[in-house]
Amino acid sequence: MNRPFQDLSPPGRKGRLSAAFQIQARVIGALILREIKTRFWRNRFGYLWAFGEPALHLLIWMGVFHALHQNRSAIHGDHPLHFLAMGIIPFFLFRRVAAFMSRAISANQALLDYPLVRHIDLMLARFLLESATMLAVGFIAFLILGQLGIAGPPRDLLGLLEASGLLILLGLGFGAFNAVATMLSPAYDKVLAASWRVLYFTSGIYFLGESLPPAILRLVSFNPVFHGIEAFREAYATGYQSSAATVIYPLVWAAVLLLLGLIMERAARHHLREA
Amino acid sequence: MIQLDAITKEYRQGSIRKRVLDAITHTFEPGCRVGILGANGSGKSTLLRLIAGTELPTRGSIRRTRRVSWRLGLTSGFHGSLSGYENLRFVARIYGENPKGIVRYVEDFAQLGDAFRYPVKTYSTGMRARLAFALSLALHFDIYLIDETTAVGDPSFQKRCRDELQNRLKTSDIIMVSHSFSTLRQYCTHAAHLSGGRLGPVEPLPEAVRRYQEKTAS
Repeated sequence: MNRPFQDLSPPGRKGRLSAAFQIQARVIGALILREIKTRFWRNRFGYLWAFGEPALHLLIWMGVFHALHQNRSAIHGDHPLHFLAMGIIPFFLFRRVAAFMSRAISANQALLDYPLVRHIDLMLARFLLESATMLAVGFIAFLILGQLGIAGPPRDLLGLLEASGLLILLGLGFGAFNAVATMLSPAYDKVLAASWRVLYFTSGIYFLGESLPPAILRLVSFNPVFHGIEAFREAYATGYQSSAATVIYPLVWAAVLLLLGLIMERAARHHLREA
Repeated sequence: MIQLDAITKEYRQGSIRKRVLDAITHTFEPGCRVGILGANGSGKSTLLRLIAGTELPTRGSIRRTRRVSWRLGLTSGFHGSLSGYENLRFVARIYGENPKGIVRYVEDFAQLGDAFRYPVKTYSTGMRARLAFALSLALHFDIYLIDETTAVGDPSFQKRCRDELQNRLKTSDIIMVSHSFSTLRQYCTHAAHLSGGRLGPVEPLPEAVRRYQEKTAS
């Protein structure tokens, strides 16, 4: 009778807690292995797509810039491709984490037949896998751009990590909120589709905060992702100083969304398990 | 041991609220082999789902100090595009078991041969059921939950299922729902009657069956 219990009563509160964490750790570990297989290995091009999607957006914007004869960077001395990469790669870091997490519960409904698997495990597994994947994608992308002589080494590595962390946390907040909200209301998916578009065009992928008129800048500053991308550019590019980027504002967004997501999950847990 | 503490389960359908289980308090002691009797729609399956932890009670709490199975024969937890092997390893991992040992047992019991390496979505219903059944036996649960199904597959495999389950009674407990008294007699020593959302007293099986038949006849 020395097998692990489903949930332990005695001995004591401490033993119960550590046993619960052990179970959660192995469930999340198993989920990550499963997600890797279903996400990437089911289709051999899965890994390729992790790079392909941001690369495609990069090329499209290059085309747009070329057509507009804007073949120079908004940041003095930077290659336009580097300028775009500094917008698109951090944006996808946020978006991929958020989008992959948004489907964490709805795509894994069947798993809830195993009582050990909880909603939060589904979300955490996807969060960990996708942030690690996208960090690796970003690192390799800039490495390649560096080898091609397009991007130099980052000016402020610590700042770069901070900006990336900020975007990942925003992805966590958005993702957790969406994962639960899509389960509660079918109409939410439509809201979500629209908000992806708004975020894409207002996050500063193809423009700098500095280049905007003050009135528009104020409007765009409501978008928390914009702050993350400005911070990313500031840390990477030589001589760019963003006046709009703050750390607190996107952090508050991330924290509030994450909290709301968790509260909704707690309140609707019965309902979600019945679906 | 499984402790049900005043569990109530309600389902909402639009504005209509239906109470399926009504403040049930009961303790399933170790060594229990209990059948649950009740008419269709009396909430037997709901009770099993709550005990399994697949669903949560609307009010009240459930404490489990031993490892409880999912409902036997359940196949919905498999991922269609993963192979039989991959699905087995995943479930073994979440239960903290050595995947190799589980795979060996299931290979031996389910006898699906090459099919283990194919995606589960290519399986027939019977093959899926064999995989799931063998897996739930491989995991050595302390308490097995049975919702009518005591065996799956073709007649010869069904016999294997029943024999193995019978064998398992030496070390594991059972809580089962069945309309067949002969099945109940094979696996259970006691039974309780679920009606009107309340669980009656647990009595020795013959008495419970007699009382149940008297009640439903009148």
